[in-house]
Amino acid sequence: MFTESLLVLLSVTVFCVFLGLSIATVGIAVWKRRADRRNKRALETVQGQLFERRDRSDVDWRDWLTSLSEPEQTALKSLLQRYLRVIEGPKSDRYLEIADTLALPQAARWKASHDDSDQLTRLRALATLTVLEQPVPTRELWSHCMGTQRTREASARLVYECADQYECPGVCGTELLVWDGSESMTIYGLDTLVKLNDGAGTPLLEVARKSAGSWSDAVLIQVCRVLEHIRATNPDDASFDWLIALFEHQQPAVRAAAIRALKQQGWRTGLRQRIDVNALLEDDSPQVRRATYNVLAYWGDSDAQSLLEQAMISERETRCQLAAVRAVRSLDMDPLKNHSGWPVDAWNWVRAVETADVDTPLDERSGLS
Amino acid sequence: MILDDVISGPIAAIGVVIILYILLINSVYLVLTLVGIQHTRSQQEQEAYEPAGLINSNQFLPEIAVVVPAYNEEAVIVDSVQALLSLDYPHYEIIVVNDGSTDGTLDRLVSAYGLEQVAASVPIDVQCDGPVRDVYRSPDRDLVVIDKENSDGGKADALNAGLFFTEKPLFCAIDADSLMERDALRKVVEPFVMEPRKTVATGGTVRIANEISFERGRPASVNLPKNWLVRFQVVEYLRAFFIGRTGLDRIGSLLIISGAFGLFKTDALRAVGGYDTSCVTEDMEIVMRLHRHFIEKDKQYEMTFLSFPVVWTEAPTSVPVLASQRQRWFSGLVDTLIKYRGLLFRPKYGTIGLVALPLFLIVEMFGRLVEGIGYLFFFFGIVLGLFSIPAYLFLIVSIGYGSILTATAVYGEVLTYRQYEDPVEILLLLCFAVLENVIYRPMRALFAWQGLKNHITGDTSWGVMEREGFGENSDQ
Repeated sequence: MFTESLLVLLSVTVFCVFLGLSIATVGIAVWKRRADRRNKRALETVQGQLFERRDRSDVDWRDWLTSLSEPEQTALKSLLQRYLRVIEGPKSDRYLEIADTLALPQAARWKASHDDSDQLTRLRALATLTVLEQPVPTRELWSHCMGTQRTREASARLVYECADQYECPGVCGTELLVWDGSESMTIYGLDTLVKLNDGAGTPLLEVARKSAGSWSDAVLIQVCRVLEHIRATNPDDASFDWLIALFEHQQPAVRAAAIRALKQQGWRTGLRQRIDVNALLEDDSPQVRRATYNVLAYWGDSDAQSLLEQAMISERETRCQLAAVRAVRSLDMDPLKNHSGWPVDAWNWVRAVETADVDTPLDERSGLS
Repeated sequence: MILDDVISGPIAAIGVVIILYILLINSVYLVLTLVGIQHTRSQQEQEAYEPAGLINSNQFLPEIAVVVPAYNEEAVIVDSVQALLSLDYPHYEIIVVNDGSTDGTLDRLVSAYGLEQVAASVPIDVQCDGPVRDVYRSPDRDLVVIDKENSDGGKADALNAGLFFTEKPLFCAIDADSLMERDALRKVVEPFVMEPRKTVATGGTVRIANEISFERGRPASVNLPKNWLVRFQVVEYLRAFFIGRTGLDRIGSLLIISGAFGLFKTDALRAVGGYDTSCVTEDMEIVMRLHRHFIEKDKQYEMTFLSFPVVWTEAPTSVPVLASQRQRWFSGLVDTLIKYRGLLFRPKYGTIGLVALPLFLIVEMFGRLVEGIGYLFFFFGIVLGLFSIPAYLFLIVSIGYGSILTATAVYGEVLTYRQYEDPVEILLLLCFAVLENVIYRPMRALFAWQGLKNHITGDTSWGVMEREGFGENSDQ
């Protein structure tokens, strides 16, 4: 089984593997360090030359580009990506001109729609097309860039950035982002969804009305969070029906998200009348009750104040009571304190924190309760 | 040919069995390392993609309470808080829990940040053993200091004070002597944004900060520490805490989120009763309890390890301090494995019961102990001349295999994040990968046995950690 020669062979093998691994490791470290230095030098050279030529009118970009070495061309492409992400309007024209000369749009469009491209290549290509504001026909997006949530998000951003070149960009982008409602969005996707829906149109409400029933809890919560932060001004009250139905959802996190989603809609009297706030204030889940206090504090009208005042006294869960007191204090309310269920400790605490926050020396504080 | 023919008698046969056990353990680690490298590379590639357009995503980031337990940390506490105040995250509060310090920890914080005492008692039941004396707040920063009495519960009790005090939905535990990279919170919170209902915990990588200087919340340059003991820990951290933990995460066996840097859903931690004050490795115990809780409640949940968000921490520079730390870790491991033995090999607990716990039992616990016996056995075997040449060859194979394992982790580091860029330092790390097997791992095995003894005798002391502070360019 373990003959001496076998063990010698094993020892030599182990030694050789270790040696090979070590040589490969050090070799890669040396190679990467040299590449870092070479790329840094190339970047500095290209940056200097670009700045020197940028404001001149007599530059032949093609001549300059052909004079650049391969690392310098790579450095230039990365510089263009970086600048075009932050520079807009006429100032970006020169950089777009160079990008055209480098044939960046064509290369990116090819990579975005080529069957063999992997996800990362496609994502980078879509990002390049977005910074260059080069739209891709919807048909091509649909047939090549729907593979993953991230490619759909990148496609939606392209639609948003080139909105004037798409028909119904809001609906198209929103549908790309939400897709079949099974995969949750990244922060980038959420940000794009806000941009596509903030203001008058809010196609998200229509998309949700049709499909919210089949969405996962995670997507429902995300969509509610988006609605919490946008101004949905035009849609009629009926567009929110699906959201009111979510108050019956079995997951407290979804119910809490649903009431929060209506935060910006407090001005819709008709919609407010259809929300059973008392039921939400009596919800078993503290998470839902806390969310409701938060929304009532945001609405802040006399109805909301009265509900908050009652909730502050009737609430039995300490943390929720504290949230209710905070909500009351955020509206500068100072209710009568002779009620039997008056939350003395929570009230004193919130007042004391307010006092500490305005930097008053301890010996000057008084009348906290 | 049978075993007895190639080695001198039954004593050496025992040695071979021990070596085979160690080879098995190293093989498990090697598989985890390879899985970890593959996943880290793919994660890194995904991170390298920079989406187009400006992102104003702050409104989607949940609020976080960053809780720093502090016991006699007057030398570092102001710097630590300063570093935390400059994190790149829009919604967070820092809660320092002064755990009955007998030095000037509290006074330094009060004077450095103009803290005001809150003149009311906390209305919430802050479930910690040591009573809360006072709460202080900064008037112009999101900084709270809870001043509590020290109790036997130690760090876990201090963490509980922060956990039950905060109203933020996410809870981040960090050590006072650790430095979080500026964008670490943004990275580590991503799974909570993506899966707001399922994600209950995420952890980031912990790296060694000794002799590293920091600028704007990032290391200015990462050089290999000169202290040989720290160098051993650097290779160990690379293998076990960077690549190894990624591998464990990939096979659904993440049982530890480091106490130096973990992010949790506050409600989930409270639902399981907070940190266990009787356990000296509260970070492993709480993760185990969360697993058990969610599996028994039949709730879907996710815990994720991310290799990029980094926290830098000081490693022990002397053998006694290292011994104390490792004894505590091992004692805590034994304690936790015994406490959760009911989950072992139970299909009901899925991967945790069938893979993760057996792996920790066989590899982390018994593996370390068997390794210790092995080193002792071979030491006496060699001294007393009990072995023949094949046994020595076996030993060489074992050491070589262990070196390959660590060298693979170093290879993974070079392929991925390359915190150590200098090829000379990489060469040094490879040398330490070999030396580790003859110097550091025997030491670690000895500490494991001492940890076992401490567990049996009920010694739960933490020992003293000497702080040397971060590099002189530190901006903390």
